[in-house]
Amino acid sequence: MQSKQLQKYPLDEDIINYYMKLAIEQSKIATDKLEVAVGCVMVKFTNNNQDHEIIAQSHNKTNQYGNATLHCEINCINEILDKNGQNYDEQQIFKQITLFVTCEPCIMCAYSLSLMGIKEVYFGCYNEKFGGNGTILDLNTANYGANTYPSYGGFLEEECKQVLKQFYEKGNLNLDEDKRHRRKKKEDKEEIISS
Amino acid sequence: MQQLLPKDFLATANVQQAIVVEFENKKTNFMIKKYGNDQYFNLKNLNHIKRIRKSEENPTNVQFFLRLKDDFNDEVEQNIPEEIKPYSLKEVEVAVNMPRTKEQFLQFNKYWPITYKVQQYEIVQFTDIEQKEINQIMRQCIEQAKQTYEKQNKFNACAIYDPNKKKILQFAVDETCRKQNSIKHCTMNVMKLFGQNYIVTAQQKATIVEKVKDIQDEEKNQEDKLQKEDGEEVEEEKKDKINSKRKSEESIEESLSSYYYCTGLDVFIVQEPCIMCSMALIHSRVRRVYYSLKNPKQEQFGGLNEDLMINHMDSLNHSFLVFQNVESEYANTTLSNCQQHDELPK
Repeated sequence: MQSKQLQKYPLDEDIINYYMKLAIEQSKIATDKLEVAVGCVMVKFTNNNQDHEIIAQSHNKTNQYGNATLHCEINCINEILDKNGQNYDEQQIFKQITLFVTCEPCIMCAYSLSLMGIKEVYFGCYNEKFGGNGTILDLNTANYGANTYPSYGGFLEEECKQVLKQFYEKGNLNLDEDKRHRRKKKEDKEEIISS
Repeated sequence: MQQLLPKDFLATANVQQAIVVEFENKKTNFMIKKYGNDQYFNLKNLNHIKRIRKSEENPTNVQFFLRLKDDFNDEVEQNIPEEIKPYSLKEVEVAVNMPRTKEQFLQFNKYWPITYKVQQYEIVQFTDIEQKEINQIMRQCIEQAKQTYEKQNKFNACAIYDPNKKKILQFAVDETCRKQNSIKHCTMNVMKLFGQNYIVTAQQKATIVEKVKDIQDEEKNQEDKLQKEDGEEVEEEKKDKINSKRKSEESIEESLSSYYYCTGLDVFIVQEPCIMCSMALIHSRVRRVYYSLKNPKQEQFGGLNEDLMINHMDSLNHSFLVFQNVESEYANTTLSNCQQHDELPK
């Protein structure tokens, strides 16, 4: 645990920032579609981290399909495995794949990445409610019966937070009014003032 | 069947030494008024501890709880107000963990008096009928698990149950066959299918409402026409029409009364869900989880057991009740039968 902060990440900061920005773009697409504003990019690194190409990119789709488990990481995993058809070894595929995500993977996603045996994870802001890569549980380092993987956080943290903030200021418009945590307070107030 | 409870429900008393101040009981009111909520004598996490008790040795004296012995220092002693002199400091034993059940309360209360709030965590008592129904649903799940096991998947299946309508809404089985896509656990599959079949998204809702309006308008037009054509209708035909109208209205209502993920629904799983699936259940906001077999911790860790109760973590925004060992004997015998069947041909 202590060595986690001292440990230096193996990629150049330019490359990390480049892909983090792509992930942020995905999260902005999510905001436009009224989905929770988290996006991610999965990148295949080969030739000693010299060559890299995007394998999958996605954002949260929980509202679109009415399925609370469709976080962006899960979408990417499914997309990659569907591409490969049949007869493959998922551990071999994910051994080369690095994840860039705007928000720390939740406990569910962190364990699914662990099951897949992903290479590395870089994330933006920390997730104080559900974080599975060190905040609430350390599913990436502790032995929970699946693979472990290095995880580094805090890249472009402010930008990632901003997108999430913008989303939560609006509230989840896909929900019925009475089920929303955050209701239209501002508009109500304006109505009272105007009336 | 047995309800999975947090560890502290079964905990024995964690007894620690504490310092109390003993003085004449005439001065009790003064002490409580002035120092009942004072920062010098605050109880921190020991809110269940009562402030004061009668001295056992001297009935004209009372004892006032100051602090645990570890937190006690000279500064605290200096802050004891002069008005209550003469006083003496005494060491007592106190149970510092909060009682969650009545048995615990009776046991903990023997040390220093404490308070007990009933039902901090709901303990469910089932009637025989409910119990039978639960067992029956679990048996159906086990049957599904058996079928998927024969296709070389893990012996696991899952059902979503609506406790109000008393109806199973969705079945799903494990599909991690040949280690391809090992996140296709039955819980993840059931959420996918449930979303496809039962959840009406906001956009779909809007289109349904529009369609219904169109249909209703058409019906009205037709009725008007019919009434104009012949004013007298046979009564039976009228009744039929009304009935069919009601039915169509009901079906529309049903399709619009959408679920918000799995809010208020119960989930039945044959084997204990792994950490990923446990969290998926939290994201889906289920009401209760029933599972039959505990995870043996060989391959993947379970998320709903005494060690790792993901359903009861404070930081998460949702929690649900868990019941384990539902029809576990039946599940075990079915599983071992399947395994024997596998071994025979070899």
